[in-house]
Amino acid sequence: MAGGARDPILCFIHVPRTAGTVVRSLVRDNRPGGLARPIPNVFKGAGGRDADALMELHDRAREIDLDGVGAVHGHYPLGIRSLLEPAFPDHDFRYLTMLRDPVDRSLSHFFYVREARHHDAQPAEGLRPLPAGVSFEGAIVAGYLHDNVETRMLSGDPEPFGEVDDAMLERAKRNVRDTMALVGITERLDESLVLAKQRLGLRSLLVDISQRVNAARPRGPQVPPHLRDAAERYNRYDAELYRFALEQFDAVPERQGLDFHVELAALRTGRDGAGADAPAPMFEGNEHEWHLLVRHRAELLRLEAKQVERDRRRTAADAANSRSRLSAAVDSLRRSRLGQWVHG
Amino acid sequence: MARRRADEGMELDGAGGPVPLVFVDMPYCGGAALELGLPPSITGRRKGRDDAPPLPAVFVGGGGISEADLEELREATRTLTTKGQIKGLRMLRGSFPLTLANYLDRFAWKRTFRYFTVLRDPVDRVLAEYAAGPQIEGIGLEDAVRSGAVRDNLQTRMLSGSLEPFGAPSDDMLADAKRNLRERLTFFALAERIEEAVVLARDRLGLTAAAYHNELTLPAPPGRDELPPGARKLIRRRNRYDVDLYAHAQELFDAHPELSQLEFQSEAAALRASRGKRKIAVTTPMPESFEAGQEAWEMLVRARAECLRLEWELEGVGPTPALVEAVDA
Repeated sequence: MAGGARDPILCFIHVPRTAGTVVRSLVRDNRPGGLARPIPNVFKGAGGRDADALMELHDRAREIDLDGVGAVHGHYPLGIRSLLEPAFPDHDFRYLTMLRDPVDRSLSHFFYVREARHHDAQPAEGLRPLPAGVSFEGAIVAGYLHDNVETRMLSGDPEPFGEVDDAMLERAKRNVRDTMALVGITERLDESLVLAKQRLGLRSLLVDISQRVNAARPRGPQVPPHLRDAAERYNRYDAELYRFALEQFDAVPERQGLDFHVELAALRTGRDGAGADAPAPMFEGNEHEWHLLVRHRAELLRLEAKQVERDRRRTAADAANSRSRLSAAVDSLRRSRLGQWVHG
Repeated sequence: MARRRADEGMELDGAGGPVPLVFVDMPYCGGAALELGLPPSITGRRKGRDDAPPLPAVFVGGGGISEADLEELREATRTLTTKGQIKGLRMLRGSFPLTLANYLDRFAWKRTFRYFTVLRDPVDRVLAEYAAGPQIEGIGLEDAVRSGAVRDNLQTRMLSGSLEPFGAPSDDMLADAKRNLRERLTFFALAERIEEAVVLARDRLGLTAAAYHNELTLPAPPGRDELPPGARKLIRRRNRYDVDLYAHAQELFDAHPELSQLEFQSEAAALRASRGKRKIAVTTPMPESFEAGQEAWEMLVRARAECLRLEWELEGVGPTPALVEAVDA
């Protein structure tokens, strides 16, 4: 960049089962001026934790190739900042995450882990196979699930695997308030996406929000009470952290501005094709003016998504061409050497 | 009722072909700027396509026009049928007078032509012609105007529809030009209000939406700011029919009902804001009727302007260098 200043690198702390895949897509496809690079998962979506990944990060953080990278993402704890930042003193990092109601999140994680054998995701190495019909507690004891995983991941501890206590919760709260550039809320995904765009300079918000929804699992009243009780019992710190994060989310200054509400209405209109909601409270014009404004912004979102998609295809095509040229060059070299050998 | 062919951005006439447009492009009136606002599928700016048949540009060079020029134009219209070009004709553009309509009327049984033009403040037009005209090199502005080296009342002449638009202009010629503005032309633009004109043109000429050209602009003619009052007075006096015609055109333009509609106002403001490659800046004042306030107005115009930029970028339609250079010609 001109003047030597670099754009900050976005670090997406992807807490499992928080609709983070949507945000990950958004960050990966949208980050202007840079590639998005996955960092090995420390917390495994399919269960357990990967001690090797953490060890690797610990020992070889400097070897992560951040050249041209605009964003990194993965199921790693915020604590990796203590590894990344010293390893890359010339870079600025901005951290974002999504939090979800901890009972819903952990139940979602539980069902996902229990059915992991039906999909491609692999649990951490060394875990014994879960018995069929394992209980929530059983999955915790077996090391597939962690209690209070949101608190753990946001505490700032690079190895947040011990007991969760009040001090860890306070550190997580402080990070939510002071360290994170954005803490989105899964249940309020649209608002979170708008904030992500406004704070982080993303280009497009129109992403597929239907990704990775496990439609088959029990929800709401279908969830057996004992299961819900267990999820609550094992996530007390997360419940407090989530309540705190909601307060912070409701208090973001962007809500005072008209732009936030217009973008939110445009996102819903652009994605669902529905008419705009009622005008925002601070909008002083009439409904016609509001609808025209929202319509233009929705159209802008659609065009931005088209631009992002075009750029993504171009990048993929360029990469394919590069591979093809490289392959042709290698073949040519081989043939010429073979020819020299045969005729020589 | 005319049908619409979406991919071409224009309506179809009764014969199933696109409704042909005839652009009476009066010299130094900013025709290139207006054309840049029209869909490339019509103007031939789309890559590898330039299917508008050439007609002689009658009003070029110095010294006005003659009967021979008009005869040449009439002959040229005959070739439209012999070459079969009338069938797929999208747009005829040239520095020909509206007299052309008399020649094209013989095709009226199978094609419905729509005529349009751009008018410009007569003083600006004269200054632009004086600055660019090769025939007046070494002659002072006032001498060029007095001698007729810079053509007088060109707009009145060209829009009068007269079969003899040369010689001394007359009140009848002016009356005919005014009537043609009201009745014969489907649409006319004012060079000084090119963004509004381009937005209006989309509707009046039956064009579907397509990316606007983001280089759409009409620079002020050289020397306008330093023009001595005496010279201005002289130009206006020598072009009094054009001054009158232009005032009439302004009145008609202001009477377009679209001008009071928010969609139109914001579209024209966005087009202005999106021009060029500079950072988008909302320069159009908020309409008095807009209730939501300045912040919302800027937000509205900026959103639409960003859409226009993106549409332009995503369509990947580039101008031909010649057209960009010809913006003030």
